[in-house]
Amino acid sequence: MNTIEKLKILTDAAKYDVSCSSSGSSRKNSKTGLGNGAVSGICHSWSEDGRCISLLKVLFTNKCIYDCEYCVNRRTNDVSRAEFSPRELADLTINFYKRNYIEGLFLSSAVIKSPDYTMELLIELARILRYEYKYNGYIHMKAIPGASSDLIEKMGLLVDRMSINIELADRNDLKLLAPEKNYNSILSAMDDVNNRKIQAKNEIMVYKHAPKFLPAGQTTQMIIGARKESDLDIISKSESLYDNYSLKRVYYSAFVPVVKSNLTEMIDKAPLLREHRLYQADWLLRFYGFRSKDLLNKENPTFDLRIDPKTNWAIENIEKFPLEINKATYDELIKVPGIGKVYAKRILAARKFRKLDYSSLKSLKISTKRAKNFILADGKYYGIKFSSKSELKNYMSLSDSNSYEQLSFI
Amino acid sequence: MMKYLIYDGTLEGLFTVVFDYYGDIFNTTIEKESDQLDFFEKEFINTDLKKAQRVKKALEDKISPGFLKEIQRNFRSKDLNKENLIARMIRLSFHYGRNFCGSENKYAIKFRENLKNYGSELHTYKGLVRFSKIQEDFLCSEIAPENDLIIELALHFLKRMPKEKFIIYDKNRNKAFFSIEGKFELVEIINLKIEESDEEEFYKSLWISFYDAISIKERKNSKLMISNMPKKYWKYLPEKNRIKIKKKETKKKPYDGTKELN
Repeated sequence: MNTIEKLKILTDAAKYDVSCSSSGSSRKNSKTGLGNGAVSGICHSWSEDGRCISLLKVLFTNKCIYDCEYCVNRRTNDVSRAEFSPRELADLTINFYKRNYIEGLFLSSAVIKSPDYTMELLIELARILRYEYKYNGYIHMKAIPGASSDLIEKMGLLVDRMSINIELADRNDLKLLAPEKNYNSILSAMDDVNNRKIQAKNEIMVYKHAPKFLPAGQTTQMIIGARKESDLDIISKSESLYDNYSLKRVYYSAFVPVVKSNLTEMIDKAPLLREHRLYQADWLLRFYGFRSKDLLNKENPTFDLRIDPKTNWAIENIEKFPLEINKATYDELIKVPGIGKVYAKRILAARKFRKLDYSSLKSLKISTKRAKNFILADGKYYGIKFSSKSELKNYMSLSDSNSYEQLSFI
Repeated sequence: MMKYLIYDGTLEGLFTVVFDYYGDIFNTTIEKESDQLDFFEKEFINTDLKKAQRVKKALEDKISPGFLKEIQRNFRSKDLNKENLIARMIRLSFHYGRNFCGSENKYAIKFRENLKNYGSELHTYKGLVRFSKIQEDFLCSEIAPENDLIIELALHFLKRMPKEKFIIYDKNRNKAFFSIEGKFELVEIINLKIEESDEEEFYKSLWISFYDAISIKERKNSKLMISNMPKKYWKYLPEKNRIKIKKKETKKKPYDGTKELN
C-alpha cells in the first residue's frame, strides 16, 4: 500500500477526533533545528466542514485488538486497515511542516498487539522527529489506555501535549461500551502525568536545563449522548478533572452513530447543539470563574438549548443586574451576556480616559444587542421591559444565532 | 490654514515632520513623495535622523515602547491616510498619556482598527503561507498581502527554519525576503522565475488527499469554511486551487518516493 492510500485511510479514521489545537507550547527552536511552538496556536487551513486544520491529524494505525461499541475501528467492523511505519510518518510530518501545511502532528492510534507495543512505536516516531530531525514543532499524542507508566513518562518527555481519553462521564457506561478499557487505569494515568508535570516544573526551578515535560499539558475527550448521562454529570466530571489533574482542556464529541450496536441503536443523530452548549459551559468553567453548580443543579440538570449557559445564568440571577459599565469590575463584566473578554478589556481601557455612555459603546464597536438587558450606561437602562424570567429567556433566544440556525434544521 | 507637507516615505521622514510641525500638526496634511511632480504649495521635509531619533526616544520613554511598536505597525498598514493618523496620535498621546490609545476618540479607534487588521492578516498568513521546493532546494512562497507585513512574517519563519533556504515573495510590492541558512536580506524583485521540483507534485497530492479525508461529510459547511478562510487567500493554497492533478496511468504502479514497511 502506498503512502497516499495509507494517509487517506488513517486520516478518515481520525477525523472524528475533535481536538486540533496547536496552542499552549512555547517550545523554542535550536540554532540548527526545525520548528517551534506558537503559544496562541495557528490554523493552516479550514476543511469543507468549516473546522480549522492545524495539525496533521492521523492515526498511526487503525488495526485494533479492542472491540469498543462506539468506535469505527473496533475489530469486528469491516473497514480497510492500514499502518504507518514510524520513519514514514516522521518524513511526512517534516515535509508537510517545511511547506507550512501544518503546525505539527496530532497522533493517536488503535491498539496493535498490546498497549505497550503500540506506545513504543509512537515513542519511536517522536524520538525520530525530536532527535534525528531536530524537530521542535508541535506534537500532540494520545497515550494508549493501559500502557505502562514509564512509557507514558517517556512519551511525555518528547511531546508537547498528551491526552488520555476518558471517553464517557460515567464509569458504568465505559464498562458497557468499552469493556476492554478500565476507568481506574485511565484516571490513574492522568494522575501520573499530572504529578510528573509538577515534578518537572520543580526541576526546572532548580536546573535551568531540566527536560520539558508536556509544556502544553494534558487533555481528554468525552463522548456526548451515547448513553443517558445528563449535562450536569458531564460538566461536574469536567470540573473535577480540571481541579484534580489540572487538565488544559476537556473536548466533547457528539456521538455519531457510525457503527451499528445494540447499546446505541436508539440514537440516530449526533446531538450537535448539545455539544455546542457544553463547550460554552466548559469555557465558563475555565476562563470566566464559574463553577458547575452555578450553571446547573439537581433540579435543573439539563441546559436550555435555546440560550447559552451564561445567558441562562444571568437570567436566573437577574437580581445581580443591570451592571453599571463605568463601575463594574473586569470579573463582573465578563459575566454579562454578550460581553466577553475582548469587550470587557475595551470598556476598561476606554473608561480610564473618560466616562462612558450608551453611544460610547457604539463608537467602541461593542454590540449591545445581547448586553443591553443587563447593563446600565451612565445610569441609564436601554434594554427591553420584561415581567418574568421566562419572557427574557424567550427574548434572548431570538438573538442566539446557534439556537436559531440549529433548531430550524430539526 | 492647512499646510501640505511631503516626506520621503520612511518612518524617520514622518518623525521629522512631526518634530518640525509638532505644535501645528492638526493644520497639516502629510503626503508621501510620489512620482507626480506637484510641488505647488507643498513643502518637502528633508529627513533628519537626529530629529527622528529624538521623537522615537520620547515615544519610548514618555509613552511606552509598546506604543512605538504600534506606530510601526500602523505605518506598514494598508491605511492610505496613515501618516496623518500617526502624526495626530503622537500629539494626542503626548498630551493625554498612554490611556488615550484605548479611548473612544475617532483617531484612537482608527489606530486600533489598523492594528487589528494588520495583526489578523499577519496571523492568517502565518498559517496560510505555502512553501514549495524549487530549484537549488529553496523553499519558495508567494504572498499578496494588503498590509506590508513581509518582514514580520519572514522573521516568524526564520525562527522556525534557520537552517533552510527560503524565499517569501510579496507580489503586491515586488519585494522578496531571501534567507539562506540564517542569513537574510530583503530585495526588490521584478520577476521571480520558479521551477518547482519533481517531489512537489507528490507532496501536494498527499496534502490534498489529507485535506479531503479530514472533513466530516455529514457536517459539511462551506459557508463556515469560506468565512474562516476568505477566497482572497485561495490563490496560493494547493488544497483550494486545484489545477488538474494528473491522473497517472494505472498500468504501472507509480513509485511514491517512500519505502514500504511490510
